[in-house]
Amino acid sequence: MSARADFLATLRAGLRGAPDSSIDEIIADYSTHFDEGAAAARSESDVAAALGDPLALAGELRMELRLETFEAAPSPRSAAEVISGVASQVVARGFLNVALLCLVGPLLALSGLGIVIAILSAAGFGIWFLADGSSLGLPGGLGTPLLCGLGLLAAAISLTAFLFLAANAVVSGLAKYARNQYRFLTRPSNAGTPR
Amino acid sequence: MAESIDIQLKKGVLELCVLELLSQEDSYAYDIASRLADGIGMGEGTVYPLMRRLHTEGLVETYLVESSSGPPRKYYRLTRAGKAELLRERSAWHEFTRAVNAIVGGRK
Repeated sequence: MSARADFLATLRAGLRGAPDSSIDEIIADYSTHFDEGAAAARSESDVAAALGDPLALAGELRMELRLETFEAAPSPRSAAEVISGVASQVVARGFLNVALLCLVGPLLALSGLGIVIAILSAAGFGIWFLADGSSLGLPGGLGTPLLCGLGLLAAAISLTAFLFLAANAVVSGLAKYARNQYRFLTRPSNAGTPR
Repeated sequence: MAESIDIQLKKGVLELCVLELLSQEDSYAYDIASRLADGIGMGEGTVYPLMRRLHTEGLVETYLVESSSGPPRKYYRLTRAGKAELLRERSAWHEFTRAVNAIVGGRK
């Protein structure tokens, strides 16, 4: 197989799972790169070497596509895609990072869970105060359970909003981290001079 | 394993370099890649994920130009936001190098 066909096939394989239209677009970009190289009288293997490792490039591009999807339409699903992408990137980078991930991941998950429990209990007690508060015989008459209930419900709603903001911030932070991690592939030392 | 300082520094300025090249003249990916490979030893393939991101962020826009040899070329040009970002990054770069030079000193 020629160096060009080899590079493009590996790249395509690495991009599997991304939307077809994006894959075609990316393959077209790199094909053009080979065409330009040929027009500049560079050999296919020279161009392939200067481009870098197609699997690593595919990893970057997959990550970028996930981030694009998340930023265009933040949703639990696109956020999960970003998180799993970052996780696989971290795993590829070695043990220390994995250890860090194992520490930070559960911590974040636990605090998320904590907030969810707080929301549910605030909402639960709020409803209970509103429905059944008059039987408690609190000082201040009927106004006290009413205000307590409304206050707790408002707290539940604001905590929910906070949870979404925090989750969004965490995933955006992850995106920033991921971009800082890749964004640069060293030029292989055996690559010829371009042009 | 930490990356060498060389690579980390280049990572930081890659975007600035591309914006700077595009502010001089509109260009296509192959040309940008060759110039960055010549200039700072960047892997040529890296330019494609980077251009994608700059496009998503609205810093560059594309247009097609017929080429005498082969298919039309996709040219990139800076948007207004891209120009503003370039000014920001350029001044950050100058400020940073001035501060580091003051510490590192001018010894050859």
